[in-house]
Amino acid sequence: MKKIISGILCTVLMFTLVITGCSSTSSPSNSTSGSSAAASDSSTADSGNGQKIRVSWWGSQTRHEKTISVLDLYKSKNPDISFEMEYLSGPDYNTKLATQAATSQLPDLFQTDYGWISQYTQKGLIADLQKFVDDGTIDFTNVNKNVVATGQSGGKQYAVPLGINTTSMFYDPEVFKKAGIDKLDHAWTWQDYDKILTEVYKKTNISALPLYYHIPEALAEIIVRQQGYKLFNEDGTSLGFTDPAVIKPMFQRVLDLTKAGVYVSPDIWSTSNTTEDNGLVLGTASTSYGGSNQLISYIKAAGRNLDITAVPAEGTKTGSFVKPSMMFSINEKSSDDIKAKSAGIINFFINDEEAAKILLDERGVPVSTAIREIVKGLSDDDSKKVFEYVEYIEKNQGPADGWAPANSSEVYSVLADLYMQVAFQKITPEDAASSFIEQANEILAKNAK
Amino acid sequence: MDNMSATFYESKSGASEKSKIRSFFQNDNVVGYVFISPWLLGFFAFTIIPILASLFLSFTSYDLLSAPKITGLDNYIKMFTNDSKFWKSLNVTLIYVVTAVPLRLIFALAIAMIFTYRTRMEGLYRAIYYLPSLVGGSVAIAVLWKRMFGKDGILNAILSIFGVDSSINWIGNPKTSLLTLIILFVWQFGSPMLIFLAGLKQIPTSLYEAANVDGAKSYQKFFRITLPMLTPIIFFNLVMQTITAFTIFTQSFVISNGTGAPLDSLLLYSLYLYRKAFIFFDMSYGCALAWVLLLVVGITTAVLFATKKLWVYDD
Repeated sequence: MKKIISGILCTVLMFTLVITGCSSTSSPSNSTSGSSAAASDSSTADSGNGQKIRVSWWGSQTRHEKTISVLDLYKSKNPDISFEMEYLSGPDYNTKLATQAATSQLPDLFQTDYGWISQYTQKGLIADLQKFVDDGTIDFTNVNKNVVATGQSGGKQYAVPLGINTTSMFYDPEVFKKAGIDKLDHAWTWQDYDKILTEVYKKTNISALPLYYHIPEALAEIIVRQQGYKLFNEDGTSLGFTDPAVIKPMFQRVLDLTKAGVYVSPDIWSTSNTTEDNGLVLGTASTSYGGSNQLISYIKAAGRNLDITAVPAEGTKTGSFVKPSMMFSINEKSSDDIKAKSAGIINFFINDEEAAKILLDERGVPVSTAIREIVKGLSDDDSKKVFEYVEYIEKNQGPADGWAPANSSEVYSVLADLYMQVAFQKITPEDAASSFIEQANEILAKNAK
Repeated sequence: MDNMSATFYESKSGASEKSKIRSFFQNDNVVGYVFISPWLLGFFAFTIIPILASLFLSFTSYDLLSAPKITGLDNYIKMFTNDSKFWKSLNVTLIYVVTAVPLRLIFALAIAMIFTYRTRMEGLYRAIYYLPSLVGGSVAIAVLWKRMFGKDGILNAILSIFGVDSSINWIGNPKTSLLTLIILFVWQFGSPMLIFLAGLKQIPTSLYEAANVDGAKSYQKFFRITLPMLTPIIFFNLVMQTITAFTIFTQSFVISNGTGAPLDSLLLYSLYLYRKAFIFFDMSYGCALAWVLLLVVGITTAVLFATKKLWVYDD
């Protein structure tokens, strides 16, 4: 009898513990990312009585707050919808999204990036939004067609850009003034670049940071476009050019300028990964690179005025082009009703005036020209610099390149390696150029299935 | 007579069913298994089955977004014939292991020897020296390390006090970056040190007394008595630390920002595995890499065991 009672008690105790341990928490759970200070959170919003739409995005704490406000605003206008939100910092987001894709649990509405969305569209995981554009749910009347095209692939509209930015160079106007230069011209050429930076170094002994030293693919894209090519070919099975001489100038310049001292030495920039570590921010360098939407955070971190201009042109060809800072896409597997509602939410993000007043330019320059005017009116001088620059590129660019194909991240990593090796003088520009073409084509050949 | 025997057999077989189950559960081994069944469940679900799954996946091509396709030995062949980063990461890891482990053990033993001079603050010192082992594997320390050895870091500041003009970015220079990782590993000598301390206390003092009578000097005592008596402990520490060193990940991930930069000088094997699996989404290749690591660690351990007879003093 005793044994039976104690047996029952033990089982009950065990089950209680198991149930407590396994119960799903409704409080936010924090997971920290490795290096950056951006908080990542995931929370379940109050479960309303209507349709539940799962939304997810990545970003900094500022973005989380703004996005939640906009979603709450939408909810107040459409009370039959409730949101389940998931938000994380950048690298964690990619891993989580891929895991969700593997278990067929993708959110209904999620942020995507120009650089890796093709992996998902190729597996049929993302819905075609064309019908929502056609029936007016998503309104592109105020959006430049080049910008709309950035969300398309193979004739289908897989994503809607939420903001645009472009490649740019930041510089310290005080340092440049000492060399007699007031403001850099957005239309400057590579010859101007070499000359001016060398002047600045001679007069002030301050070096410049090499353009795009951690993500040289952005620079490669521009240089290749300036010569009339594209970085990848149509179906992403090889590079868009075959001659090493096309890409060699990029390596040659980093070697020459590093040897001359005009560029900062690689053992300094090879481990500088955060804004706080950056040479321009710390005042030890005269220039740095960044997406146009990063100017504000650089200025804040540096605590002094910084200016923005274009990556130099080759003669009259800019090479730069506006890219979506990020896009929203809809899960192909969601129900038609949820898809339609999500399309409405996307439209709200890009076209609603009240939403725009909350989001401002946190996700980049607004895609709708009408909204842009409103936000410009609310912006400070630094933001206005960014607007002015991005609109310059928008007006002067050639048609945008298509999305990066699958396996492009491996190609980029090969390029970053070679770029660093040239800077460390471990390999010649000729060898780097031909090695890049060889390795990249080998990687991209995997896409030919 | 027949009746009695029939009943006897009947009751015996009738009772034996029940008592079989009873005695099964009263068997000590079975009771043991029942008690650890929660852990066993977890072990199977979260350890054994994923390990077997990764073995299976290593023979496929799997990118997490679509179902795995069986490709046989492709991953392994590619690894050994067409992957220069694999060899580079193996090279970096081997240099790391061969340098960091002996250094760590030497420091551990040296400090443990100092503890033989008993002081009142002994407990405090032990805690201080053990502390790095506790916190060392963390991200925070790795970030701190990055700052310390950076161009404007403390190390350069200290060196300049001694008049050595150094503005090297120890982390950014591919020649010196691995050294900073090695120092980080050696700094956490606390745990092998405690084991050595325990081992030192077990050496019978009668041996030392006999040596004193024979007029032995302190270094003779160390090399003729202490070291030989300690060899089983040294062996244990060597094997455990080597296995640990092969799998170091956090420090190299944080210090190189996940890339193994500069120039792959910090690309430890597990970092390479992580990049292949989680940044390039080549999960199957990552699995194959993991099993090759198991093989490498297994072979290294086997070799260490084979040398045991030569230098470990087992009494």
